[in-house]
Amino acid sequence: MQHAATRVGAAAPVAAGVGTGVETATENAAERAFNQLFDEHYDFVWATLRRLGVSAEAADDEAQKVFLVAARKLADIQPGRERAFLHGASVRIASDARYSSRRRGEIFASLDDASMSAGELAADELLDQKRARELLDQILDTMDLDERSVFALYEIDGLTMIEIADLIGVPQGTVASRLKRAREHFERKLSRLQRGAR
Amino acid sequence: MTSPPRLVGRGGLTRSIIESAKGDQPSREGRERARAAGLAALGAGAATSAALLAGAAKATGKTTAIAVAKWALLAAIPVSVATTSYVVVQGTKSRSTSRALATAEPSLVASTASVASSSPVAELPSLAPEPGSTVAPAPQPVRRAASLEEQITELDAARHALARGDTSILDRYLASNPHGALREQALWLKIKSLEETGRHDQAKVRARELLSSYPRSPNAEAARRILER
Repeated sequence: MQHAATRVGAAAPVAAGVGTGVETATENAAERAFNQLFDEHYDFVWATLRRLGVSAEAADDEAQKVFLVAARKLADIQPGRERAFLHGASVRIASDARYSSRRRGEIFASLDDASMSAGELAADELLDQKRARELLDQILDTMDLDERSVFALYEIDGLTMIEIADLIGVPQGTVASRLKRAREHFERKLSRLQRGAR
Repeated sequence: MTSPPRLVGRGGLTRSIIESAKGDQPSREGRERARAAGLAALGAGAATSAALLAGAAKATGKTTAIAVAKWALLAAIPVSVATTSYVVVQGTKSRSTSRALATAEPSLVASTASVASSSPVAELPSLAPEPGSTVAPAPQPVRRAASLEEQITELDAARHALARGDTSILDRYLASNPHGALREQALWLKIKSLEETGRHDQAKVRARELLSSYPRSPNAEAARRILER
C-alpha cells in the first residue's frame, strides 16, 4: 500500500476565487479536491474501520462520518498528510462506535474469550473466508486499540514500520513495541484456538 | 530496527485468518452516500476556511484575507451547517457573521498546530441512541438551524429507530431541516420506509421531491424507478 502522493490543496480552492471573483469556480475546486480525497482513500478508510472492530453492517455509516469530518476540515489537511488525517479520524470514529455499541449492549464483535472455543484447529488448516474473518475479529477484539491498529497496518495492509510511524505520528520505537505486543497477543490467542479454548 | 517477518508468510491457519480481512469490500451504495454527504458538508469546510483566514487577517492586517473569509463563510450558509441561527444576506455582514467566525476560530488555531495529532472528531457527540428510546413526534415550534454534528446525530438515531419501525425521528428531521445538509439521505430513508410499508403513493411524492431537489443524488436513479412503477 502506498501513501497518498496527491496533494489536496487546502488553500487552493479558496484562493482560486480571489482573483477571478468567480465563486462557482472556487466551489468546484473544493468539490474536486474532496472527490479526489474521497476516491483515493475511501477504501482505505472503510477497511481501517473494519479492522478496528466496526462491523460490516456499520462500516458504511462510520466511513461516512469520517468523510463528513474530512469535508469540514478540508482546508486544514496538510498536503501529503491526507491519509494520516483520515486514519486518525477513523481511529477516533471506530473508538466512539465501539463505545456506543457497548453502551447499547450490542455485541459489536465477540469480546469474550469463551466464545473462542472454536474446537480443534490444525495449524495447517485452511478455513473458509467467512469463518476465518470471524476468528480474526475475535482475536483482534481482545487487543488494545493502538496495538490493533499497528497490527492491522503491518500484518494485513503490509505497511513497513517506518510507514506506520509516519502515518500515526509516533516514533518508530513505539510502533515496534506495539507490534511486538500485538503479535505476541495474536499468537497466544491463536494458540488457544488451536488447542480449543478451555 | 529490524522488521519481523510477516505472519502471513507462515501459511496455513495463520495465513487464512490474516488474509480473510482482505475480502472486506465496501458497498457501492454506502460509498456514494458518503460522497454525497461529504459534498453537502463542504460548506462547513468553507466556514472553517473563513475562520482560518479571518484569524490570519487579524494577525497580519491583510484585507484580502478578510474578503475571502467573508466569501467562504457565506458559501457555508446555504447548506445549513453554519453554527448560527440568524439569517445572513449575501453582501451584508450581520452579527451572526462575526459570531460564527468567533466560534470557529479557536478550534482552528489548535488544529493547524498539528493536523496529524489533532482530534478531528473530538467534537462529535456520541451518535448512539439510548437503549429502548423512543422519541415522540413532539411539535418543534421554533428551532434554530441544526449544526452538522446535530444533524448527523439525529439522522443516525433515525436509522436506529427505523430498524424498530419508528419513523418519528426521521419525520422530525425532515420537518425541521428543509435545507439540511443530510436532507437528501433523510428523504431517501423516508422513501424506502414508505415503500417497505406499502405506502407507494406517498413514496412517489417523496421520490418526486428528491428528484426535484437533488437531481444529481446517487439515489436519483432508484427514485426514478419508483416513479415508473
